[in-house]
Amino acid sequence: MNEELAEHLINYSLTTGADFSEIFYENFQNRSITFLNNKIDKVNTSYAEGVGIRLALKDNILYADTNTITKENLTKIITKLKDNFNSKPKLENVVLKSAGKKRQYTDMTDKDKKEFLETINKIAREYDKRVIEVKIVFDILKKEIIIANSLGKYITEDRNYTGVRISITVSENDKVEKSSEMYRFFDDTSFIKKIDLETEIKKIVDSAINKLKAVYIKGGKMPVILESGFGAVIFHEACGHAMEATAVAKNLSVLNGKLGKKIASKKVTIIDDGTIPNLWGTTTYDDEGNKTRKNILIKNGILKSYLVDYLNDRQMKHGLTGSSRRQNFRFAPTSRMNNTYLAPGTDKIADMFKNIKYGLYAKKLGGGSVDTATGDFNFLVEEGYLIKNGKIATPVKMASLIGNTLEILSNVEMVSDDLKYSSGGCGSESGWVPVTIGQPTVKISSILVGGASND
Amino acid sequence: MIEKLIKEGIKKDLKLEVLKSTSKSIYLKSFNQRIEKLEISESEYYKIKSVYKGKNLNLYTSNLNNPSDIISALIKDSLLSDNKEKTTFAKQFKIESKKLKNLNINLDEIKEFLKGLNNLKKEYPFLDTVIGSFSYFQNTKEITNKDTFLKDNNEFINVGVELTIKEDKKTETAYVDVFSKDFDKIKIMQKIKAKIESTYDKLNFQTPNNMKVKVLLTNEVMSGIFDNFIDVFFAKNIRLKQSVMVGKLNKKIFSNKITIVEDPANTNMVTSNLFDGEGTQTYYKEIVKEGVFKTILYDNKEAIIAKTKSTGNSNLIKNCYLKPGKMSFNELIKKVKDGIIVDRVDGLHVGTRTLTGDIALQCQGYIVKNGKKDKAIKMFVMTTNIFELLGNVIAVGNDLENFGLSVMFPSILVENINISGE
Repeated sequence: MNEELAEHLINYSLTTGADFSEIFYENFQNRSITFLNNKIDKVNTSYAEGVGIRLALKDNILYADTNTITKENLTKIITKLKDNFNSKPKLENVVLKSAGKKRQYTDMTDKDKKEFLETINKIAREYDKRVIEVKIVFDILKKEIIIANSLGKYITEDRNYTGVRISITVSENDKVEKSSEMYRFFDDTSFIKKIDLETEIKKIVDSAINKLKAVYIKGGKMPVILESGFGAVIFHEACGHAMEATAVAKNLSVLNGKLGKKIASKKVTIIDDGTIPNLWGTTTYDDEGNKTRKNILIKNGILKSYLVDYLNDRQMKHGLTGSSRRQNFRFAPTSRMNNTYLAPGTDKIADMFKNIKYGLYAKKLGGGSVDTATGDFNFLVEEGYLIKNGKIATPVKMASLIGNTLEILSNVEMVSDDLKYSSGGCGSESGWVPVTIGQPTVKISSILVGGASND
Repeated sequence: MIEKLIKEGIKKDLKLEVLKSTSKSIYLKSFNQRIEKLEISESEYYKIKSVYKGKNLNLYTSNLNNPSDIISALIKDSLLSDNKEKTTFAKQFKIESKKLKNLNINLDEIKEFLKGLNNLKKEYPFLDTVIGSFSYFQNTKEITNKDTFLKDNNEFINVGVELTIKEDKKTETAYVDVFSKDFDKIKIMQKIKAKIESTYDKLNFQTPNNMKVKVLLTNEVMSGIFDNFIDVFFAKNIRLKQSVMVGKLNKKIFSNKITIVEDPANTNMVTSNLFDGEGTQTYYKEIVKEGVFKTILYDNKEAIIAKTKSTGNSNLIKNCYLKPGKMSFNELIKKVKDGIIVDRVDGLHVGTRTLTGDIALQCQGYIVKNGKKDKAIKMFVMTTNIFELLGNVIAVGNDLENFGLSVMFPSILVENINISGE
């Protein structure tokens, strides 16, 4: 999709009567290597190329996608969309201005990739004989993006992603358990050398072995300590989604009308920052061609900002936040999170356990979901332990946390200084996008934990 | 293009098979009284299966413009892969071609229907927001190798409605999802109205106490739960000990009221698949019969390892359902006598574990008192296990319907299930 063709299509698309038009070109190559059963079980290579065309007239949106990328086909698609706007054509001539630069790419050799996978397998199996399976999925994704629109943008960006997912299954006395960890970066493969394999693999094995001994917790409301890292998914789901313009512009968010108001404990400062180098949710530009940036969403408990894309901003008049994202060319973009984290505080972790007679230590959350209109959310604790009389006790299984956004934000009682990030995939209206979540260890004074009806 | 690629492959000693997927779709979305979005999509995608020097390889691409690049990439992947397991390629069989209606979608009629959903606010003044969507999908699959050409196709309609209900500063939401062969406006509207009424009740909910209780789970809830467990019956997961069904073949795993079948080629269903992702002909089978696990689902690779035949389940599970009973939903409520109904669960993607069979889900529903629906309940968790849930079944309903395209369950009544609330 060269600049000349993009410019032609943008100008032709404005003859439909659209007051905004955009061409999104994407070319991606993914190589996914699966190590399973002591060998490289699968090597899958994927190539895809496609174009998404978005036209808007006020708040009416037309979108088309195709992987037949010829001038004739793209012109035909725009003509097909034309009947849906009953408006006079715009006569202005858009001239595109290009920006963006190529990224350098270094790939490991296939020999090194194989050695890397075999090393993980060896460390895990030698560390504990109860390990019965080690599955590793090593993904190397290279994307080339072009965004052209009627505001005159012609933005190019190379997006390179490297991800390693390690799942380890253990077995003892006919019981089977599994733990997984993901190491994913917005960078080429050189980044994986920074993973401390020995420490990380032992952590995964220990986690799976602890689960073998897990019992149900007695359900009910109780204090919960969320360990730093993936615990932040609760803030991503419970309040991040409610700040996205997709929900706010339609008055479908529990946080509507609360800008400038206190919605959380003063210990809570939440930031979404798409610029942090190499994090999984980082990009230079968002999918509308605006530079990503650091957005302070909640500061000391006060709601400061929503996450807003171009078309929703025409209604909200909030200002753009560089947060427009999409899975690929098949999806129209909308406001999404990038790297969302709870800022570190000053509380000591040891103090968090004091005075807890019966509570839950959530070492790792397994994900969850939220209803942005009501604020109701649920999360499963992937690895958790009972807290009894201020001390970590038995491992617990299938403990789920349920509650409401505004309630949990107010119940944040203590925040420590050990901020850690974790990568994840986030699904919403514009598909799955890579995100990072981050959080220091946090104490929540009360939350409903689902478990057994008795001890 | 496909023939050219296969010929190029033969020259380089690669045995190739191409699965071509072509799809077209139209999507319309309304927000209250206006049409907000129209999307049209067309795509072609190719999966290329290959054997080179005994190694099994797969490559996926959106075009076949450069056959030599595809062959080079496959040869490069072969140097890295250790997969030398035996495999087979699709064989020709006679296919009765399906006649698609080629539904002539009248966009104006659909736009009027979607905009008209906003009129429900006159009947239900507490209805705050209505977001409607209509999708039409058409797809074709073709498998080609040196000796074989197989073709199958499908088309269906999906109507989705998101509802937000507000009263006295309280908010509740609900979703309706209908998959069908035809655009049946009356049936869709009946479902929407029923959902509005049950969601309105939830505005004044109670949270139940911790207890073990009789639970009536609706067909929608059970279809969602079982959809998350279907992987446990696949051979690869059982062989690699990643399934809770390891060692359970021919053993009693559920109540004898449970018979689960798969009927992928049944063209009376909303969609059907005459062959799987490897071109193996699909057929009717009983996975669980009267509570006994009878059939492991195999693709070609797993079948060769187990020295058996593929069951036509390579990357496919289609029209899998629990055989319905005779009782209507209202009869099931009477049979509950004292217990609860669960009519919505959230967090299915994290609250179900195929390795252990464990289930922990956020629930909504009703209290049942003396065989009658009583107060609405929500904000509680049901903690159970797939063996307990389908082992403690007292009755199976007759209300089987499509909430997706793979798995369907009627409502079931189960005893002695743990819930935790206040």
